[in-house]
Amino acid sequence: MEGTMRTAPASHKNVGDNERRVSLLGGAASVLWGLSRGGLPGLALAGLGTALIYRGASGYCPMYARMGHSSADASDRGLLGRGRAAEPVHLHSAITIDKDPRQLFDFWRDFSRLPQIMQHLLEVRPLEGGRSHWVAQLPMGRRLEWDAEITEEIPGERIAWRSLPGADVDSEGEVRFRAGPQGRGTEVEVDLRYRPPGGAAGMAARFVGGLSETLLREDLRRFKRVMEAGEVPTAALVH
Amino acid sequence: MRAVCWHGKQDVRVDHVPDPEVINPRDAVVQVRAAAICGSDLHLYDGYVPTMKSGDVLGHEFIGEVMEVGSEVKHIRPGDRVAVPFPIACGGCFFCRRELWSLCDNSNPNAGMAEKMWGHSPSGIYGYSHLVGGYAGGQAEFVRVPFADVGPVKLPDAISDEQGVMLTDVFPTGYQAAEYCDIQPGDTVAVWGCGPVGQMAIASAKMLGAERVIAIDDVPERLDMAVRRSGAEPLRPSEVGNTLRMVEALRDMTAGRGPDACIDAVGMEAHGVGLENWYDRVKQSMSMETERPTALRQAIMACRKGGVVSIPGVYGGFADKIPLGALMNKALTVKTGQTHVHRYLKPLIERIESGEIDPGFVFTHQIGLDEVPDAYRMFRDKQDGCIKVMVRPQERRLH
Repeated sequence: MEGTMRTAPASHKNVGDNERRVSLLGGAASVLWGLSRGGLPGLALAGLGTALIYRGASGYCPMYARMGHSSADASDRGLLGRGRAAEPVHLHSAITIDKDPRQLFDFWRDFSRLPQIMQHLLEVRPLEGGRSHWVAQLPMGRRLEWDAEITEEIPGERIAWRSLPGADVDSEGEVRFRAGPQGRGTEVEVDLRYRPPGGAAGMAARFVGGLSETLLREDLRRFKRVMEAGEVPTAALVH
Repeated sequence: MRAVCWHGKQDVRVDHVPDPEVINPRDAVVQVRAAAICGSDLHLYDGYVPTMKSGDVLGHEFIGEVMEVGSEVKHIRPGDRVAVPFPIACGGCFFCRRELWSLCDNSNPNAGMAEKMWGHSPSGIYGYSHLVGGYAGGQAEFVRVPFADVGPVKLPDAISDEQGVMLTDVFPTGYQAAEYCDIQPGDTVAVWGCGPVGQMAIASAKMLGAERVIAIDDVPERLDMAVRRSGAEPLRPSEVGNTLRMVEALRDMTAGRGPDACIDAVGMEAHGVGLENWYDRVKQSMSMETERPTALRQAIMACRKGGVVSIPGVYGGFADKIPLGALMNKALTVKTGQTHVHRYLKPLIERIESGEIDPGFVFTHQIGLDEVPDAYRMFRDKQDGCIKVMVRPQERRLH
């Protein structure tokens, strides 16, 4: 299984939150020290400090950009603890399951069984005309709900879906099934995209902020176990 | 029920815990008739295995009577006396279908944790830390057995409880280690460690046709057992000296060739000699190295060119000063892994029934649950001639 966390390309930030804080502090210290020292070296130091402050405040480093480097990642929430959560989150993961593509496709296509494997889902109820109603579980018994429609379906190969207007959280997803190399079952690849409406605040943002590729990977592992072993293992002694 | 629980380094107690139930359709609940303390349990006891939690039920070697089965379990039924392999295996994944049972993809609930440590997760194992599932173990009155339609095998009446317990881990583990040596007529096999797994590796190597087996250990009664039971030639590290001397001694014993195969039945807590021993002890105590791999170093250095190094000894993390140059330039083959017990149960039951071998010979002590905490210390310190302890959980101490 492999996966990397990706954020939308819309962001030009390439400095992570912690590094931004360090830049701000270091920049401020350089400016103060430079100005108190005076003279040409002091002025140069103050200038450098100003650049660092800009880098910390904006989250953009021209040198990193030229080097093609970035220390930012999807866990960054901005210096004031918001910002990124409002941006769409893209989760990707893949797993190999020792079953035919068709069997796996059939399980997935019956969306009502997805909550068995996807922990954040409480219920998916099929509706008329390829539509379905999704309910996501939040802490404290709160819920997010949306309707979705299938946008593409190739039996045994691919299912894509997306939420309809009016959703608590805009989402789209795609699952692909591909026969693995000889005797290696089926490679299952999933892409999920979530975009919370109404900016950074609110339940939807917190919901999306709480998603991660680690969780998606565990969901796919549950899928594999339900399909291969018929049950999900537990070390519990009692119900 | 009463169960032996881990509470910390060298702190093992008998606690009351909930009676296990059938949770999944492929489960069984087994009443333990006999269990054993394994040398690898001592790594837990000494605190060298991460992800143990206070209250974890220990024990991965046990046989018992089936009490209850889930709806999907057909081949065993209540009342059957069964041996339960220590690795838990689903039977349906890529690995199980290739008889690589201890690598099952679907039996470790904490696979994500194991992937962080080892890249990929092996199967779940009873009573052996949360890295391999956090399953409650068999040093208890009852055990919940997942995938009971795959693992447990009904024991014929001719197999004693002692032999049955040996079939759940130690006998197959020693046997697999010897099988991995690909023994050819005339071969000499050297075995580091004459604990129960070492004894089984030595006996199996002879059974598989080894001309000579050299048994390496410093505990007199263990060496005696290897000599007496399996006709091994003894070698005492304390008399030989450090790794270089050990290599020379083994070279001398084989007229310069070196043993054709070397088995490390010691693992992560080897007792080295001299500077090398102190190097590992200091690094291990400072968490700069998780293993003390003296036996493995010697096995690699001593092995003849093109030979096999077989490692049934348990390792968990990272080791230093492994002689990779020797491994590479002598073109050695390394074979290792947790044992695919399921693969060996039937053939080894047949070998016992035919009288070829009686693996029960390693047992030196039999106790009830209450005595288990003391027995851990006795076994670890090799007091009272202790080689292998059998636990009878249904018997309470009378005095």
